[in-house]
Amino acid sequence: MDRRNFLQKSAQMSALAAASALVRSRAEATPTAPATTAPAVDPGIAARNAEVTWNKAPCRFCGTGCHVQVGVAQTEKGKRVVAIAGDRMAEVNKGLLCVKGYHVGLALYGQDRLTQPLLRQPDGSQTPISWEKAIEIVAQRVMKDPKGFAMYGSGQWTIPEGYAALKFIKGGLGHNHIDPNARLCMASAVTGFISTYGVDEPAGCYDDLEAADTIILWGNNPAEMHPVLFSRIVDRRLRGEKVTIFDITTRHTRSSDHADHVLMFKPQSDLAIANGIANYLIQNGKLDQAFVDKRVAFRKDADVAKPNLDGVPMNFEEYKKAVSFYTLDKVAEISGIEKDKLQKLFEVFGQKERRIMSLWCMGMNQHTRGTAINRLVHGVHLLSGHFGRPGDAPTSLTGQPSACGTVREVGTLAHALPGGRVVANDHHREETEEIWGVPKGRILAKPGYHTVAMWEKFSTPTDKGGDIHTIWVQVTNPGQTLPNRTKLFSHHKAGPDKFLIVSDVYPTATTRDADLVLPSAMWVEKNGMFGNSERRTQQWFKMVDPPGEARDDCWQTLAVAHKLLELGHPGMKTVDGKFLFHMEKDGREVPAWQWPHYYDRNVDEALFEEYRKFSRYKHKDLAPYQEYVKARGLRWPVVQQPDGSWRETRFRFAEFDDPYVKKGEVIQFYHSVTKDDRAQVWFNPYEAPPEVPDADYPLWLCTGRVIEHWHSGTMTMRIAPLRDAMPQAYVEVHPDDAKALGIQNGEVVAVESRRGSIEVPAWIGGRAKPQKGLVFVPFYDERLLINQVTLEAHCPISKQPDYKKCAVRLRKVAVAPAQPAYAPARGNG
Amino acid sequence: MQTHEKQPNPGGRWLHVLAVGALSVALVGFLAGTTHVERPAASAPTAQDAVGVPPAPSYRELRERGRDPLPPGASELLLQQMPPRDVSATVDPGFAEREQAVAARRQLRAFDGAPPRVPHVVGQEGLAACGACHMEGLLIGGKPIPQASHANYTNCTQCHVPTDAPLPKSMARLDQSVGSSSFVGWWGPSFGRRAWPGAPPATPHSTWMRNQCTACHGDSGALGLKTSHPWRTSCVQCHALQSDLENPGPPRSPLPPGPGAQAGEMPRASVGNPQGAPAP
Repeated sequence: MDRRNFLQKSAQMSALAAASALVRSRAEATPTAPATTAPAVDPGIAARNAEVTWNKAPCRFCGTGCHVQVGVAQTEKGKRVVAIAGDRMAEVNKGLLCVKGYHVGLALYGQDRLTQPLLRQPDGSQTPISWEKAIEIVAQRVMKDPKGFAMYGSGQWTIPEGYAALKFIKGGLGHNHIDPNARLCMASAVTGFISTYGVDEPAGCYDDLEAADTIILWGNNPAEMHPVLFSRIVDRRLRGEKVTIFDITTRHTRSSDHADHVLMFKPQSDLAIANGIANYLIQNGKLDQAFVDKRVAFRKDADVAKPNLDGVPMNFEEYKKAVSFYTLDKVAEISGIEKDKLQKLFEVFGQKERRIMSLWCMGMNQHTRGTAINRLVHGVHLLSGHFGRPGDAPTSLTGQPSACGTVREVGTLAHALPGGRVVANDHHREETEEIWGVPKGRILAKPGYHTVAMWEKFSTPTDKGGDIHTIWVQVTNPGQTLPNRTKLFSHHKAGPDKFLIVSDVYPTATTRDADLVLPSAMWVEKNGMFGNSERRTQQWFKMVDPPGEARDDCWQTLAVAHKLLELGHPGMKTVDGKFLFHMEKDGREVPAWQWPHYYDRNVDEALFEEYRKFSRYKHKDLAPYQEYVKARGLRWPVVQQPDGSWRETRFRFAEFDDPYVKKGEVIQFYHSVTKDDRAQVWFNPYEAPPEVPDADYPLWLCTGRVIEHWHSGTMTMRIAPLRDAMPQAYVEVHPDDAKALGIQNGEVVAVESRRGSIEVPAWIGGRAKPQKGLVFVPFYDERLLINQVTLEAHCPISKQPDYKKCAVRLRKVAVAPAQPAYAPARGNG
Repeated sequence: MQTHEKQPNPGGRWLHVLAVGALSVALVGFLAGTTHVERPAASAPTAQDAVGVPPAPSYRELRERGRDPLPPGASELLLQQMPPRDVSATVDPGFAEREQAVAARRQLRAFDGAPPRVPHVVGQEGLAACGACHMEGLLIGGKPIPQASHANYTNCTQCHVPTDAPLPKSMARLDQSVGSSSFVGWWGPSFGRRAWPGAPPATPHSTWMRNQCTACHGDSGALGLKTSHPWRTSCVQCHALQSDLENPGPPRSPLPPGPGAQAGEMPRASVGNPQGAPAP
């Protein structure tokens, strides 16, 4: 019996089992109809036990945006989270979670939570200090030279936290040195959307997962990384539906196990594959001519060597000629994919009746041509007309819970302002200054340093042009996640005037090098709002107290801002003389900067209601805060109806669902960069990556993730069920490569690149099977920092580095057999 | 040929030749067996196309993978060999067995409602193998292999991870340097409510993800959780589901909201005040 038969048999058995189930539980039969006013508590769960109170929250981990029910009870250790359940009223996950989500409550109670502010002493130790002193130190670092004080955050900032940080830097300090780790994560998706549609974020949504009959995974492994979404796809097969999955990949992953067609491609050749599809459509008369004639314009980079976001127009004939290079033979040669498999992929896009959903995440985004491959994938959907119907959509996924909500929508990026605005635009700055009530000219027109540049400047001595003297890190772990760590995370070597401030919940690779550590509250220890991959804005309330003296990140920002006001920094006042973060309740000012008063008023609501004013410009309309209290998230644009209710939008640019599309237009790209309601189909050629394997470094290195761990593992490595299941990083090696190098399964090898090396055990025939000539290392293990090895080369437009490919070699390392546990060499960092 | 002619007993000679041959083979075999042949690399277990008989794992694989999941097909062979079920046999677990079974459940779960961890090695490829045993449940040598308590999902390792890492046994391990969670999980009641002694107990738990009663209460369940009357198959005939446990929430009413249903009045959990601050 082969695998396919076995799968079929299993499906039949399962269907039978389902049919003969002794209990046809109403609860499990169908999740509730999408409700915008679902009660916050799932009554089924709430009634299980009176001692436990349940409330809704989005999961703390990835960008899928599952809702969990959080069970809180009084225990001998105080009021704590004691249970987690999938939220049956959540449309995203319909009561299901993944193994991380089920154990998210455990993330709060690691034994080494940071509970006190810590200051680095001259001897290198970190000793506890008071919050008053800590806030004073941060403020003094600003006063020393405000222009050299940068903030570095992430897509784990809640929406109000990110908004406060952005306003503090851009509206308060008057410069733009604020960037998030999302720059390392989905910046290429953003530039792809903007250069194609003129506005960021997917037009489709998760509803497409059920409506599509063909799923294309572009370098994506959702079985591990977005498991709940992947189950929404593959579980359809149990219901007798046919879903065809194409997996375009460099490793055979768990997603490949479920795929009908596995297209194993050479790194970087995705550019050729997408161009090949476009060429096939043109050569075989498979273009959706009506769609192309009315909705599409063609575009290319003016100078391929120096590409930018704007590009220049080209006509169809030029485009046709440009892609004609990418014949089936040529693409097969560049990509290494068998011709018959490629042909199948090409043909699928030519079939109008199909509903095709493309999914991608880091594979396409962490790419030195990240913007280009994003554009090309949008392009093949537009050329083939696989756009704007349910199930027909190119949809990027995000890795962090609020990469969309905070980074992309609030705009916590060096070049951005809230609601899709940019600092370079005079009008945008004026609008922003008006809403913030700060004097005209406060916001600087020049973009700040993007992530790689910011850390490079921070790691460069001041007298050699390193003009960032302090970075305040919130909600992320750059000491582990920055590429080429040796170069970019080494401020201690750059002189004594450099100062690193880190707000976090656990000790990390970043806090270890920090000069000041601020203990933070996390997840349901504070109020919060996230925005997931499908434009869904979510809200939750604080349920338990943070441990020790840990405090909300947003409070920390407000406290520093107010301290600066006290010290006389002119930026912390509005034009009418109020505090930059002035908040009122019942007509009186709330001193939210004082911790005992922080919860006197819902600071999240105050900040969100202000931020909401920015959301109309790009038709990303947000509803009032209280609407999100009632819902399991709402997808923007959320538009008020004549009866006063608020309606979310599932499919943008499509008349049947998007209220901003003109009647009769069917599809309208109303933010078109060419102002003619057309989307841009870009031509971008295949270009070789900056570093390719050679005689000295003969292997590709790809980095990534596993289902058990999230991001840098700070939280999940403290959760026993997850850590036991996947306790450490490893290097996946193809059996042929292992054989050639004489590497045994489990043996420790050094993974070496031109930038650094780590020692890590080899796993042959493990979780996934890399193609020959490629090794894979997951990046979650802080003891095995693969980013000593990776390359900081980045996409010239999105500035997102390529963690997916660089050249390495493997070297056997002798480990004494008497010591089963070994101490990894820390490289030269 | 000459030698042949000289020998009066050709049969005896052949015996000698055979003996020498056999000895040589034995010697070569012995030497080959004692010599450690360095295999350059363990090859990945390839997808097996064998029909019927599951392929035997190599000694190397056995050593490295520890207790292996049964290869595809093996469980079906086992299933055929299982004795027929005696559904008329009365089961009467006592309180001690119940407590034991409940404790065993907790061993594999972080809290009531967490997906159980898998107490055996899980193959890193081909996930449908789970269904071979857990779709129906098995009883092998008195040891129950539980049936899945739900049947609507495909990607098993999305929720269920092994208690023990799937890494090769030979892999050098790092010390666990981080502090584990001090999380304390919540557990629901172990018994269902009865109206009077002898009355059928109501279901003490939600049937969300637990709608296959036989998974825990049938043949493949632990003794202490087993029903005393396995021949009855319509469980809900007597054991009432509790509507407050089962209700997934009322569907949205097509009618306009009544005068009391103002925004902000939707029921929320009894946690804190409207600002979300914890109750003092």
